[in-house]
Amino acid sequence: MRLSLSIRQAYRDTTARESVKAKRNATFTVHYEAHREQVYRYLYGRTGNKEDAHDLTAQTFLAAYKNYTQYNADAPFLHWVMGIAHNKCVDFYRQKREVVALDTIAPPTHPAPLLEDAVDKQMQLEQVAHALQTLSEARQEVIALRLFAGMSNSEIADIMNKTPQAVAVLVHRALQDLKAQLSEGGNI
Amino acid sequence: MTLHSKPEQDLSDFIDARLNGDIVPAETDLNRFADDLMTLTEDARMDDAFADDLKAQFEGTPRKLITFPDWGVSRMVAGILLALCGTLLLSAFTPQGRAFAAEVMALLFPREAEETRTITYVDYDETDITEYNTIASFNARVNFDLREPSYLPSYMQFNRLDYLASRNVTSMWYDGNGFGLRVLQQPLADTERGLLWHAFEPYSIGYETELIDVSLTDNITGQYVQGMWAGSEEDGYTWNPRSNIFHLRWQDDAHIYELRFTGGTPDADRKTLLTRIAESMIDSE
Repeated sequence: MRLSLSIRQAYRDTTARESVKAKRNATFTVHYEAHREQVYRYLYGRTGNKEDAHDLTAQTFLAAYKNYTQYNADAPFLHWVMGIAHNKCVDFYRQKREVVALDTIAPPTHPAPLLEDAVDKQMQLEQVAHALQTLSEARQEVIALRLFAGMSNSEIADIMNKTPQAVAVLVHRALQDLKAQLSEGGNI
Repeated sequence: MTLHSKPEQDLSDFIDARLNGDIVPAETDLNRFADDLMTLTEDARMDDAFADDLKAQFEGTPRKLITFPDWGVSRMVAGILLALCGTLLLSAFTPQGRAFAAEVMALLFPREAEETRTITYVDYDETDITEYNTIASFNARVNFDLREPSYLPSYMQFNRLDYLASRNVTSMWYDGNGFGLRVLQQPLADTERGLLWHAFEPYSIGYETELIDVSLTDNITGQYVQGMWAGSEEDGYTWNPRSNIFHLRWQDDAHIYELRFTGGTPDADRKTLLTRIAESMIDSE
């Protein structure tokens, strides 16, 4: 009798666990569908490369999926997953620096066409991503979140633990820096 | 939000308007520059097949596999497969038998006749799955001749082992650095209850998909294939040979095994890695 009870209990436990897992998968998929493009554009802007952006987007969502139990549902999912994407991006550039000399991420020596004359967005974005690397981490982040991921100052303020006003100021300064950086490289 | 500084307020308002889809003139150099940067990425979208592959990994991995559209066909093929497995068991103890087994492997990744197909899901009882956090806890409770890889990439760690008792199949999960590896193992005699963890049998691959024979030992030849079915129930499913899901399957005298690696770029060479992992499992015997 005790044995059959424990089997029944184990069955119930397994059923409950599977049910929780199925629900978890379903809600995660909804989040993924809702935010994947924003995360991708953020990473595309940070890396300037479609292949790397795809790779990092996959890494971001796989890590989020694995750690989904740690996600606090009171906070927007996008804020949480963007934090993971940011970390993936930092790791990406850290690993890259281990094999690529720092001077290779300086602005390109060959002048590129003006942004207005863009023929190849991909090439232009790669140059922007290179130039972004010369800015401080906060300025890189704020440009990618605001202009590439399309987030509001308030949303970025939540992620970066700043006020929306401070974010607006940071965006302004970061853009000035980036513009100057690209101008030095002969881009604008 | 109101800022005291006019240029910062202007820029902020301009970006917000742009994000809302409003048509606003960029009156300053910095606004024009912001506009250019936003233009660079606003049309960027994830590759659909890649996004679908990734999504498939969040939708209850064991459930999402695909079967033949017609149950009659499925049963017929399963029957043939069963007969072949029986023959294999009888003949696998001789060199000729092993050579024959290698030839039969071709049937374990059968190829679809058409580029696109419809699918029918075949459920197994998920309440029959038990999850183990360690291999030791599994070995202590289940009588199963489990083979573990003695080689894995340094970034990969054991995550868990799932056991589907109704088919006597183990599924070991490893992950790390955004990559995933699943190691499936099943006694040949139990394949009649459903092949490996698949919700269909046998697992078919796409029309014109490259299937590569991989020599693992003198007697064992595995099969490597990259890809997965992508699409929808409405439009049918097409095999995507550039998906970042990579399979290596082989069998020995007693078991059938499959490695399934996910993640990374679609062009990555996973054959070498999976071959090395498979060899380490065979060596461990």
